Amino acid sequence: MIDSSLKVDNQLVRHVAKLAKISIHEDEIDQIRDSMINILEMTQQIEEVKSIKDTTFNTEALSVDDLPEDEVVHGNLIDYMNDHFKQFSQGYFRVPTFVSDD
Amino acid sequence: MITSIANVSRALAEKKISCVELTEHFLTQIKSKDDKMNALLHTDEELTLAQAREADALRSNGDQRPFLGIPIIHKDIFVTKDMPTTCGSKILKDYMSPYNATIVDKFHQSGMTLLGKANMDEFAMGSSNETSHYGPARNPWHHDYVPGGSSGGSAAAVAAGYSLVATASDTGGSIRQPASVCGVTGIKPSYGRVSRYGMIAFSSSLDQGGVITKTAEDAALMLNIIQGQDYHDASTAKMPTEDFTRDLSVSVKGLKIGLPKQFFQSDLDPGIRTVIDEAIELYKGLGASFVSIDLPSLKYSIPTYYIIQPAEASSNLARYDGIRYGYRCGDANNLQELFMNSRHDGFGLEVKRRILMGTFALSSGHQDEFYKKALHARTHICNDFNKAFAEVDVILGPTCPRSSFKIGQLSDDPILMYLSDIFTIGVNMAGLPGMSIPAGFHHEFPVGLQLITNKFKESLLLRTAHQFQLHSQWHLATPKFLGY
Repeated sequence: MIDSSLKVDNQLVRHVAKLAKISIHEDEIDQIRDSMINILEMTQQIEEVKSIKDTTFNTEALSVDDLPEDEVVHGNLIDYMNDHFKQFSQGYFRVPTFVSDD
Repeated sequence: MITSIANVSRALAEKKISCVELTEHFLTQIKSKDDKMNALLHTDEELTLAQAREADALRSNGDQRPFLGIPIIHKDIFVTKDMPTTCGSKILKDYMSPYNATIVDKFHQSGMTLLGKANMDEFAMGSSNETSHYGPARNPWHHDYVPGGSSGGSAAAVAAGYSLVATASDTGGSIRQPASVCGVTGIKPSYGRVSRYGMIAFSSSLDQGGVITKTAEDAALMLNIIQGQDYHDASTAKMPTEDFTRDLSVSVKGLKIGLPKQFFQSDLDPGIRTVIDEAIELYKGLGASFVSIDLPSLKYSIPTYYIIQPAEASSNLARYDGIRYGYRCGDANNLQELFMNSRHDGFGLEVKRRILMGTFALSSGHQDEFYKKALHARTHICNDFNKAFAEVDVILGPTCPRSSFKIGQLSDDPILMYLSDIFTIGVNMAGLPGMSIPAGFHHEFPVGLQLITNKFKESLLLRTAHQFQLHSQWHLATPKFLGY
């Protein structure tokens, strides 16, 4: 159910922008926040849609309950990988280097 | 003679005109009008004329392909090896693709020559062409007005006589709406009828490529070329190809046409209503019958679309990170800043707005309330259309709630802009084929008639449109170029 009390504020816009990997300048935030509020208001209408249980379009299969919380990575991704994944320093996740036969 | 692909194809076969002469005719149109129209983003006269000369040589040597040497314009969403592909965005400025989209290849294999790439809303996100990084294309009927979108450049180019055909794409109405406001014919095929390989992805469950032409007969000829399963696109349908011209001459007598109540509510512009009523009378005169139908879930189409489409767009556009291709900012201190600043500078406001909305709708804690709910609503819309097509053969209504509007008039109000597609989005939700054909004028601007059939019934759709054009003249009207 859509939470009608959902508060879209500048903090939420900054958080979503980080998830989307887009810098948002301070002078742009108000405009984006206001348009997000307007679009979310418009989408409230689908709250009245009845869920479909018996259908070939089985939305239950799309359940993502097991996914972890979204996390914003600050700073340099390489530092983050080194700090959090031991395997990274051991060469995992690296792109192979092409060695010429010549 | 240069009024339709069918006519030009005959003239070329009968040697009444050469491919070079035909190409020069179109290049003259472009050179004389496009400084103001801005319908094209790329042209290469030398390349186009070289292709035309080659086509003439092939014809002299007995090559009888019917469309050999006929020029085509591609919407800049289709990747092309021979010209840049920008998708109307700064982030893909000067991008050269290493391969051709399947649609582009199919037209190339049929012998058609590349005339240019058409302007469009950035990443097809818009209904007016105003979100293009390269400035808006203009409506050939009056240059202060929008040509619709997102395929505004394609529609304006065909209406202005730059070409007899342009490719286009339709995610929520982007072929039909500009075709309507520019007074040309546009077809959005069924989802899966035409390959999307090499058509830059926006909202993958809704996007569909198609064509804009002068006539329904030309649309049928072009759909014959581009239809079919493609192993590069798993969403193309495994079904036999059809000759869409075969039944064009069959009368509409006995067809049962549905008029959705939701298309004819009191807020429909009376001028648009009058044009549609006249079209209904024409069909009645041809022997079709009409019934009122109910598509109750259609009222959810705009809110549903503005959840599903941004969600898919936020995922599809994640690839533009300044690393693999496209624009890269020059002032980053680390990788994260490089991603974020490149995407900030490379995308326009509307694209950023939709990416943020989509990211939000898919983010932890909100997915069930937005995305899953929208999928339920989408299923209701599909079910409504299924019920309707158990009763009727064709659905008819206006393509747009209004004719063209002034550039800048709606750009500060995204919600009002989104409502431009209120009659077209449902078709994308259900994966149906739809067309817009010119049906009259309101305030000196063209008004489009929308026709919809059940999935993979393009043959019936094109026949219904062709029969209308056999008995009307609206598709023959040419712009007066007011304000030019």
